[in-house]
Amino acid sequence: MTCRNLFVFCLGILVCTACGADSEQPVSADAGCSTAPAVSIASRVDTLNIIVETSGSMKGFMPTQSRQTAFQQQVDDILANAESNKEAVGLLRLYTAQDNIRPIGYDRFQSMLRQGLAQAGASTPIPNLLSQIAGRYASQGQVSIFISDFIYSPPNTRDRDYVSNDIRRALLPLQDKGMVVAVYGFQSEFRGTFYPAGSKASPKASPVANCCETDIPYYVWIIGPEPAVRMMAARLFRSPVAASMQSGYARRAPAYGVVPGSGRSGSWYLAGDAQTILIDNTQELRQGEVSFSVGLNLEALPSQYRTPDYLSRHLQVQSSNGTTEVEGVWNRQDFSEKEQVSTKDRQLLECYTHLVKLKVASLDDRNSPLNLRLTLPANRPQWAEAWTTDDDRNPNDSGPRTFALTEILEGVRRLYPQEREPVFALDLSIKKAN
Amino acid sequence: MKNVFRFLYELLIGKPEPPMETPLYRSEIFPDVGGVSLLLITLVLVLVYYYVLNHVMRTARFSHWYHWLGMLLINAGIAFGYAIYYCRLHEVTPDSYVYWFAFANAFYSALFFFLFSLLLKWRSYNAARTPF
Repeated sequence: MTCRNLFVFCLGILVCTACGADSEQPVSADAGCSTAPAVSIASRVDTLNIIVETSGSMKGFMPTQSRQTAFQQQVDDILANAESNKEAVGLLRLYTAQDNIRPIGYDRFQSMLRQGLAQAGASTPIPNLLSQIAGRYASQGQVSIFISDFIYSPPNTRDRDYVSNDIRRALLPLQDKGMVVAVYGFQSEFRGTFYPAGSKASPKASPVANCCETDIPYYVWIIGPEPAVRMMAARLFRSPVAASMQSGYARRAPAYGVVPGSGRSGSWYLAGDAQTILIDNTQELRQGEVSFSVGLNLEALPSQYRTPDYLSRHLQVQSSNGTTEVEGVWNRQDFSEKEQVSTKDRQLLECYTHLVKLKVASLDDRNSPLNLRLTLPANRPQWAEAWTTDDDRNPNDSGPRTFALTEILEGVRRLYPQEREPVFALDLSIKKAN
Repeated sequence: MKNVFRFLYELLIGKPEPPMETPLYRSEIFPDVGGVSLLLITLVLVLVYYYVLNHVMRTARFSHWYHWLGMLLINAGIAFGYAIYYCRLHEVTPDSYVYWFAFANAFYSALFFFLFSLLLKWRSYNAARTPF
């Protein structure tokens, strides 16, 4: 009887202490995502202008006697998406651009697009058109979509050495109005006469008849206020466009933090915040045994800076009191497949779009903290190098490339002072634990 | 106090594993489990043994050393179970370290039971000379 009492008593104590533990403050495993600055996306634009260049060089994209090209389908898709978003687009206006931008009725636009471009204009100076768009078709409440092959062949051949500055000058009104430019690159079959810009060495270029065996690039530029451009880009393209570049977007520091239990080595642990790492034994830092992964939420960034390829080429880490290397950059899914992810981190990883793995290679003074700064310089998008050429006289040989594309894009980028600043600079530190 | 428990546990079983759980062990689990099971439960069981079973009740049936040892083992068992329970309550990443910690807790609870016995046994009616 007494034995049983004793047993019941002990059990009672166990239950009581367990209850006591229950009432204690539980340790929060992870209290959600750290807040990144909100991105404003417009819900409506008053006017959407769709401007299609109709110079002679565009005829091959809209042939009259051939099968449908990808260009025709894509532009029709854009038009259909714009029409179906009635609540988001107040007024839809259509234009053709030759020497000047002229309005065109819906039916004529449709027939031009589908039946083919019967009457093409002469060669069009791109800066001229851009200047018209920047002046008259860009304002608050208005978004303009400009569709062109962007083959820049100025009448004065020496002007081609100033492509970048000419584009920048043409777009200058946008800077004052606070408008942004988003460029999306596509490729399409081309059936007709191709009018090359030439080459830098020899500006004379004769048209290539019955072109082309290769696809030819064309571009969709969206110009307007940032929230409206973000909204239109999301609605007009059904899937993300790989070749894209947005310039003029306001810089927003991304949310970031060290992931405590995944993609790591060494005996470090996090201090209270996710930006400070503590380590008991600094010898591990000296011997290169410490690596860790930093989660970044790059959702709000212009798309050209978000590709793992761009990030792994350009992401830099500077450290004081030691050296640190970038081991790799992955998007969240690739990271989850490549690295061992702790079950506790799964929810946390949802907060980030990309992960960077860093490795500490050496430490100078073991009693001082190792301060790191992760920076991403703003460079030209990676894809532009593969889409540009200095000589487009033989498109079948050079492939789907646009004359001086990098300079055109550079002109857009140089319009905005923030494009000279790093995309972000994030601080982290590693300290010896007390 | 936190540092005392950290010292005791890490002396036996080393640093927390996986390392990401270090802050949780050091600031929550070590002091809480140590405080409750090593000090509180052990003290209560020592008092129960010497002053309830062998003083108030005076049955004289629990004054042998093996009764004392039985209490010590029950205390160690409670300490073992409580450590695992508390780790699970705090959703510690499953690792063999949890069991090593439970063993360490059981070991220290036995040690504390012995020390508390030496300190408190002298006024017990029946067991002032248990275990020796």
